[in-house]
Amino acid sequence: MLLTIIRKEFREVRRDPCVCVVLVTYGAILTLSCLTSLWTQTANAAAQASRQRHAREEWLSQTTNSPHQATHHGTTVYKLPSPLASVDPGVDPQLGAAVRLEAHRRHEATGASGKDQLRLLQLDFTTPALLTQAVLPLVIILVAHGTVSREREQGTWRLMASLGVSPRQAVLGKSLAVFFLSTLLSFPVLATLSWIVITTHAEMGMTLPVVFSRAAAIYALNLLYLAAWCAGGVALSARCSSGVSLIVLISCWAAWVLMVPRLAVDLSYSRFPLPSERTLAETRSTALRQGSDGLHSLQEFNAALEQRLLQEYGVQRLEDLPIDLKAAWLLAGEEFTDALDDRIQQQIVDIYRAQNRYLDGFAVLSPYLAIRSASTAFAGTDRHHHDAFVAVAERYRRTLVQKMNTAEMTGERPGKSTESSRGFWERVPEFQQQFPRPITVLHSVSWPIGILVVWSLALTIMALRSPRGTAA
Amino acid sequence: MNVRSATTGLRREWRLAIADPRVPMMLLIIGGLTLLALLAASQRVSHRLERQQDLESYNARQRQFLESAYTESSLTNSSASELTPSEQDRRLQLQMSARSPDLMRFTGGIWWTILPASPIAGLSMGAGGEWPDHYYHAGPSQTQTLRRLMRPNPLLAAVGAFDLTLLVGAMLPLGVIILTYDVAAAEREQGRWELVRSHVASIPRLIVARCLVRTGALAVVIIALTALCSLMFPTGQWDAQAMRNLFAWSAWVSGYVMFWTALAVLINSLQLSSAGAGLLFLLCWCFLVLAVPSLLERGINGAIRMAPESELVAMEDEVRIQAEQEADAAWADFQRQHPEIKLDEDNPQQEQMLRNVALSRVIQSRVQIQIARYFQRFVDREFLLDRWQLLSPLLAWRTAADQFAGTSLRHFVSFSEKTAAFHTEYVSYFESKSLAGEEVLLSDIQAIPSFDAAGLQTHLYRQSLLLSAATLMLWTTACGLLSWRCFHGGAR
Repeated sequence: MLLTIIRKEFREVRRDPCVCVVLVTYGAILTLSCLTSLWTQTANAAAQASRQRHAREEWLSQTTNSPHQATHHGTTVYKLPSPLASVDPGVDPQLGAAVRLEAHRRHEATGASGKDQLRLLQLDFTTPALLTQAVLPLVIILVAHGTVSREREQGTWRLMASLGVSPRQAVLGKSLAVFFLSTLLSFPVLATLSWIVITTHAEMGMTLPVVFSRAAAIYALNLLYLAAWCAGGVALSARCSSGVSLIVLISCWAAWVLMVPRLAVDLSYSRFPLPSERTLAETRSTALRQGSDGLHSLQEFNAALEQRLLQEYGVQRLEDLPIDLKAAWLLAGEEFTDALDDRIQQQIVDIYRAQNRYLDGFAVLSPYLAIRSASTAFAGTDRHHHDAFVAVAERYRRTLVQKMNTAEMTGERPGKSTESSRGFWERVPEFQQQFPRPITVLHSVSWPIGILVVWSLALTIMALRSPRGTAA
Repeated sequence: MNVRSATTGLRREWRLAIADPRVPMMLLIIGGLTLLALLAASQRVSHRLERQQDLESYNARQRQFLESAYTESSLTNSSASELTPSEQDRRLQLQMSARSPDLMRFTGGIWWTILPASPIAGLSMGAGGEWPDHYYHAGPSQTQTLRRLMRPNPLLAAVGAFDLTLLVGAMLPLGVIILTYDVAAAEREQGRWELVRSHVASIPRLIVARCLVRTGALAVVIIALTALCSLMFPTGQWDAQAMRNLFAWSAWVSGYVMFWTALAVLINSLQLSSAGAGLLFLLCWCFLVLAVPSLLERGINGAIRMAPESELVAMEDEVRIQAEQEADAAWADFQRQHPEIKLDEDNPQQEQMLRNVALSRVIQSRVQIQIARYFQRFVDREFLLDRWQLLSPLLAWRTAADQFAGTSLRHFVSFSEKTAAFHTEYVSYFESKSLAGEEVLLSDIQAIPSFDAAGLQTHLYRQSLLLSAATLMLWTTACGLLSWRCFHGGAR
């Protein structure tokens, strides 16, 4: 019986030329978006990888013979976009794609491709993820708003009941039909995800099982979200007239997609404002000038290092150390600035966390916020992933500086021949970008996933509970 | 049809509209959303005003520090003891630099330039999320001074702000759709059409009046609430220009609503079913509000690519290296331009100082050209957008709303250009003292040029506004003419 109802709904859709035009147009736009996004992201990943190789080559072929000077010359690490960024670029374009690494200071990520781009009211829903999460619900509304109400208005609802179709069966069948249709419409996304999984290789920074599990999660969550819209659309259609259900659904769409996310972001930034760059720079420069940030002082770091060295070399006096003490103090200075930067960074991270928690609260009001949060997390294009990249870059910077300063302290120098010089600089390993583990990602998005499940279940139950006209 | 009968007709339609449960509900929703948008706006503007107050007191404090080099009376002992350790450091640093024009040219952090918030700045976020309303004096480097020291706010950039521009531009039309899509179709579907036709002189007039009453009520709610809140809880200094801008903003809201009213009349004149009319109206909304702006955004971003800000700083370094290689030529030019300057052979430092001035002038003039080019690209992009705003009334509305709120990209670019000019003026002020070999006196410190951007935030860029008005009128007229044609065809 269900199959018959589904087939009948598909026939209804085929008979409506207006709906057909909308569906075909939507499908074409989504396919085009997937293709261009795939092409752009592939080119972007290749460019970043090439920049990274170039930066490494520059590091290896530098001509200085002072390891400490090399830390000032520094290097740059480039962020490889997540392979799944083709489907959901998330906030990646707004965040930096490269971090300059040098001694004594931690730089912010720069080179955000989305900076200074023209944005007209931020109503651009042309990425595959946004087309699926923001625009496809509009198409679902178009199809679902009249599924039951039209039957009622045309008098065929009673006819169906007389044929032995229970209202619940009819509603379930119609919901499934709209859901299958939306699944069909989201096929370009599935194809793109499959293509990404097939073409994944180790250089992308993610292994095949990881990419597969992330891609599967993205698609499954999108289907769950679309199922909620389908159930909601049919549920309203079962209770109201076509016109009213269209109005209510459009209002819900506007509130969930346009209003709540913006209001939530606006309020979260007003409630937890970030300190200005100038304030942070002043805090840092004052601490550097005074040799203390209020908690730790440079002298403490110097004293600790001296103690460590005395123990390590088994001597009583600093003068007896067989190393360059000035270079050793560079290490202590670096530890001091690292501790200072960590404190400042922690302050910012805490604010971001507070903002995110506040935003997550709004996901209860808008499943769109929940799906965006989960989708960008699994695509590896949210702030959490960016912070992970910045953290790995910072660890790499510290390793680089420590290795070079240690070499300076022990008096090691690059050789004169090209080969020995390269060998010396190769002591600093190549930068390896690491994405957070899937379990960490899953943990970070457990709340939005929970919200999505609750929304979907609630709307499905609402759809199946005695629709209007049951008694008849 | 005289004014009296029109008023009576509108009054009757208003009574009918208010009896429709959708109308009061939608008015309540739009009113609530307006208040929410105004609340978010007031928070944004309050933060901005607080920041501006801090910066103004910082500027005053720097002046005090400089003056304290001449007389301790400008900074009493008690207030000096209240200084934080970093302020005490700063005071000492400025006291040491204050008398030397050369040091003053190179000492940074003397001032912040501030773009004051317009009293209606909260109405539109505009480019405020990406462009600063203040710049920090970073010493002799103009590009460092013009760096936009803003921590990225990625979600705001990706999602956008909830402001009245969005509310009026994208959500109000949805309200219009909900209230007007079935003005004619509902009568037909409920079997009252013939009865209505027999009672009214003109069906087109009836539909226009019905649509106008409903959309007009929405516009009135938004305008009245905004005007009331802006005037009752002012966030900034009201002046005649700001009042005019608020008035013009209201006129543009009415103009934009008028377009959607005309579109509603057109759709109602097509004699579609209510579902069909709703669907068509919704597709028009998707096309004008979602599709056209997105496509245009992509097209313009592809056509005019912005150089990253970091390139400006790198450019200044390159210019400096190049100018240093041509230092002798610059020195020769300088001597030709200033024959009055006689070198003191017993004072080799004088020549060195003058050579530095000559070199920094060359660097400054070349950097200024590059900075002007950098900003020109943003202005060019705005010109391009102005031309293409004809494609959608939403774009015309957005252009105008940003202008009235003083948050358009043009406002921020003008502010940046003004800051660059002020930087040059400030450096020249001390440069003239260096050339004259004079020491800086207290009166000179008191006469240091100060930055004034008053009026910039309420300035209107007429050409862009004219195009915006023309776009709204064109679309409204086109819809009006098409509906007239449909009604005319229907009558036949």
